[in-house]
Amino acid sequence: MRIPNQTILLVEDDEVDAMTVKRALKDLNVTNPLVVRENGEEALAYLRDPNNEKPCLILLDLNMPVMSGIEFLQVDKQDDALKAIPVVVLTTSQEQQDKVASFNLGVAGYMAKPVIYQQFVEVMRTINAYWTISEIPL
Amino acid sequence: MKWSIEHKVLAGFTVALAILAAIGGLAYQATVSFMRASSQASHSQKTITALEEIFSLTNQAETRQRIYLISGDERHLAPRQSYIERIQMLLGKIHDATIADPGQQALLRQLNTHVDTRLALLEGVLQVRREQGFEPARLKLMAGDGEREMAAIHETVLQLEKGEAARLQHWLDASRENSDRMLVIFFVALVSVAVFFGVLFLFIVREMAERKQAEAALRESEARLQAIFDTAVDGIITIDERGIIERFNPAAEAIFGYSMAEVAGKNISMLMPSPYREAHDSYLAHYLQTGQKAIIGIGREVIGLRKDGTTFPMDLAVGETRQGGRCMFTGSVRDISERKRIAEQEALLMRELESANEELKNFAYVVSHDLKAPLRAIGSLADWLSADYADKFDAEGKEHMRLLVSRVHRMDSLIDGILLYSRVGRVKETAAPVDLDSLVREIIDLLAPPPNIAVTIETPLPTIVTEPTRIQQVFQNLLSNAIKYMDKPEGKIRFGCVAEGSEWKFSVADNGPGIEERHFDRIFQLFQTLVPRDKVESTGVGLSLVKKIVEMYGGRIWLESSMGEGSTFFFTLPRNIANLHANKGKT
Repeated sequence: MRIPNQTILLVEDDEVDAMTVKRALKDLNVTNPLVVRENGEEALAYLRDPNNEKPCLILLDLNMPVMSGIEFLQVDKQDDALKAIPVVVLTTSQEQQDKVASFNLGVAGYMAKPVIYQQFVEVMRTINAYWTISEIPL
Repeated sequence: MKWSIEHKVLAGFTVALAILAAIGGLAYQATVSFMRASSQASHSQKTITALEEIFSLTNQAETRQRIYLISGDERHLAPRQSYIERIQMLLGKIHDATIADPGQQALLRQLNTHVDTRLALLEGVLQVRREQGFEPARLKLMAGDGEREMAAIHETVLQLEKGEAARLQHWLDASRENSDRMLVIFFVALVSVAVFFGVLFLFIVREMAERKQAEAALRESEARLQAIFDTAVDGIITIDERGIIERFNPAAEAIFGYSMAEVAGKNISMLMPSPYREAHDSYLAHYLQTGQKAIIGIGREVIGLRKDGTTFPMDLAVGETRQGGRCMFTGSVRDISERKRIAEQEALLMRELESANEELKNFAYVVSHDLKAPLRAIGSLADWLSADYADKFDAEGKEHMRLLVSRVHRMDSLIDGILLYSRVGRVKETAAPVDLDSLVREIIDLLAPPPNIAVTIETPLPTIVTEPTRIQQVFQNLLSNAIKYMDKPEGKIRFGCVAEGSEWKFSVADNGPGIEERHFDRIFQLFQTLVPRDKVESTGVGLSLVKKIVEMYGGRIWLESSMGEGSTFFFTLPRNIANLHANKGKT
C-alpha cells in the first residue's frame, strides 16, 4: 500500500474468507491495519463515524446479508465524502451482471476469490502491488 | 324494364284477344255487308219479277180487251180495273226499290208513261166499241198505236230488267268478293292466332320447366342448408329484429339444453344470464336505430345460460341478413368451456413450468455459488494446516492433505462446470458476425497443442451471426477434447465445414483412441467421463455444454468413431441463425 499505516476496510461476512485476506496480507508483509465489517450497513456506519480514519482501500464482497455489496456501492458512490475511496470487489460471483453493475458504480477493480489459498495470495499480491504504485486522492 | 313471366303471358293473351276481336269485327262487318248484298239481290229479284208481272198484266189487259172487242161481252172487262191497280201497286214498289238508282228511276218514269199511254189507248178503243160498235173500234185498234206502245213497254221493261240484272250481278260479285276476302282474312287471322298461341304455349312450357327446375334447385339447396343447419357442430340460432327465436338447431339444443319447441317464439335473452339479459333488448333496439354494432359481424366471447341455470363461456358470431324490409340475425354459438378449461390448465402448467425452470436456473447458480464459499474455506484451512503444522505431519498426513487440496480443486472445477452449463441459455449475449475461420485459429493458438499434434482447417469456415462466446465454447471444447485424449505419436486434428440444405455441417476429426458406440449417448451427458478423473482431469461438462449450445441454436450433434482409429464429431447450425436469435429469448 502506498500509505503503509492507513486502514484497509474489508467488507466480508465469511469468517474464513476474512481470515484468508488477513493471512494473505500478513504473508505479503502488508502492515496496514485491516478493519472487517460483516455487511454493507456496518461498513457505511464505520465510514460515516467521524472518529474513524478514512480507509485507503475498501475490499468488498458482493453476497452479504442485510446489505449486499452492490447496494453498498449504490450508497457509497452517491456520498461525496466517500465516493473517492477506491473499492475493489473481491467476490465468488462470476456473473456478468454483477461485473457490469459494479463497474457502472465506479469500482476500481473486480477480483474473483480463488479456491486455492496460494492463488488467493497471488490475487492479494497484485492488489497490494497496484495500490502501492497507484496514487489515491486522499 | 324486364317483364315478369306473368306480364309476358298477360301481354300475349291481350294480343291474342285483340286479334280475335279484330276477327270478330271483320266478321260482323262482313256479315252486315253480306246481308245488305243479299237484301239488295232479293230486291232486284223482286223488281225483275214485278216488271215481268207488269208486262204480263199489260198483255192480259190487252188480250181481255181484244176478247171484248170481238165478243162485246162486258164481263171480260171486269178484271181490268184490278189489273190496273195491281200494275200501279207494282210500279210503286219498283219505284221504292230503285230509289237509289237514278238511271232505273228515269226508265221507270218512262215505263210509267208508256203503261199510262197504253192503258189510255185501250180505254180509247173500248170507248169506241161501246159507243160506235165493233168496226170503228177495230179500225182504231188497227191504227197501230197500241202495238207501238206495247213494244215500247216491252223495250223499257227489258231495259229495266237488264239494269236490275246488272245491279244484282254487281251485288252478288261484291258479296262473293267480300266473302272471299273475309275467308282469307279469317284464315290468316286464325293461323296467326294459332301460331301465336303455339308460341305462347311453348314459352309458358319452357318457363314452367325453368320454374320447376328452379324450384327443384331451391328445394335441393334448402335441403342442403337444412342438413348443414341440423348437423353443424356449432349451435345456430336465428332471431328476428325483435329478438324472437325463429330457428334453433340440434347443436344449439345440445348446448343450451332447450328443445326447439321450448324456445320457438321466445326472446333470445332467455339464453343469457343477468345482466346481459336485461341489456339485450335495448341493445338490439339501439342497433336497429343507430346501426352501431357491438357484436354483429364481429363475434366475441360471451356468457351463455343453460336451461339448468348454469352459465358457460361461448364464442358468439352474429351475422345480419336483410330480406325484403325484414331484418334477421343469425348467431353461431360454440361452447368453449372445455377449451377455456384446457387453456387455463395449459397456462397454469406453463406458469409452473416457467417458475420451475426459473428455479432450476437459479438453483444451479445459487447452489454452485454458495458451495464455493465453504469449499474455499476448506481449501484455505487445509493449506494453512499443512503450512503451519508441516513439522507435525508425517508422510501419510502430508499425502492426505495433498489429496484434500486436490479434491477441493476438482470440486471447484465441477462447480465451475455447473455454472458454465447453467449460464448457457440463461445469460444472453449480443449476436454478432463471427468469422469462424479466424475464431478457430485463435482457439488453436490459445490451446497451444503439443508439437506432435497437427491441427488443420481443411475447408474454409463461414462467417455466421451468433453469440461469440458460445460458438467459441463449442469449438474450444471439441478441440481441447481431441488434444487431451490424443494417444498417437503423430496426432492429426482436422476442421471442416460443408453447406447442407439450410444448414452448415461442421466436423472435427481426430485420429485419437476412438469411442465405443455404446458410449455415444453417455459422453454428451453432464459429468460423464470415460476415463477416471485421476488419470485425465476432466469435469465431464465439455461435451454436454457443446450439445446444449448446438441444440439451443436448432442444430444437431453426433459422432462417428472407430476404435483405435479416431473419432469425428459432427454438428449442424442453421445457415440463417440470426432468425433463431429472435425466438431464442422465449425458449
